[in-house]
Amino acid sequence: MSCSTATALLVASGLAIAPELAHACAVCGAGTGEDTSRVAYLITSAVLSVLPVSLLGGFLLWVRARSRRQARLNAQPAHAAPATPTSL
Amino acid sequence: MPSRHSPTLRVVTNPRPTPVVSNAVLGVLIFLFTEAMLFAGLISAHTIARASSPLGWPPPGQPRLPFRETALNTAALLVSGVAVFLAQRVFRRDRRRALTPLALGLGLGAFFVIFQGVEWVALIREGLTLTSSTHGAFFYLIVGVHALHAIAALIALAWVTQRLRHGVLPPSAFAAAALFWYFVVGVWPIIYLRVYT
Repeated sequence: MSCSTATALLVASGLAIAPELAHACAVCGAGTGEDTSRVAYLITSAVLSVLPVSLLGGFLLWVRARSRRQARLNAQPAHAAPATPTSL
Repeated sequence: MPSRHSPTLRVVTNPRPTPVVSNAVLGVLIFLFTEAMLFAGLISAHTIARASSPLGWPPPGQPRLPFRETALNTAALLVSGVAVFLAQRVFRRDRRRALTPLALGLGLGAFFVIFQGVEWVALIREGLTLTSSTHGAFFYLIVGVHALHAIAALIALAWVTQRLRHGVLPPSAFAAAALFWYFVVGVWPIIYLRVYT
């Protein structure tokens, strides 16, 4: 068998089995069939995309708010304290 | 210039300012972020499998999940979340008084886990198992993962209760354990509405 024949056979067999292998993917069929399936696929994709960004964004906003509040609390005694000479 | 034996005043500034978020809380938050994604993935997979099921959901021949009975359990879990929240608020003013609401939250959480166990036994007897259908597999996987989290959070809360009883509980440890419990409480209504209906 020549090299070109072997290559042609390999390509042909690859093409023959590739579509079958694609069905092994658990979610490849999702979103291609009925409307309910497609909507579920789209909604869950959106949720999974937005959730990590929201969690991280929410955390950063919370840290910023806490940081500002802490800075305010730390600044208060300094302003409230009477202006007494501290130099010795 | 001061003499050799004159008193001197040393002005000491705080070299380590109080962190905005304690290490314990930050660690638990990072852990909970990953757990939130785990639950989101599981619930998404369940939603797609349910929507793609050609025979309806739950599949024919499979027992229905006890939606009404679990409503009581859900209420108990939500009340336990409120109890832990109140305990955390009281803790800031009077540490000793925080013990009662914390114990109540712990008790209600334990009730939730035990009730779930009883429910599982009943469902297994009715024929719903991990291998009986996709419905059963998703139910035990999602609810089981949540139950594991609930047990872990209860252990943390029990530890906090004991430390509080002995008067050696750091606020950051309480906040971290409470945060874990809020996550368990907060995720449950989503699971309940998605899986049990």
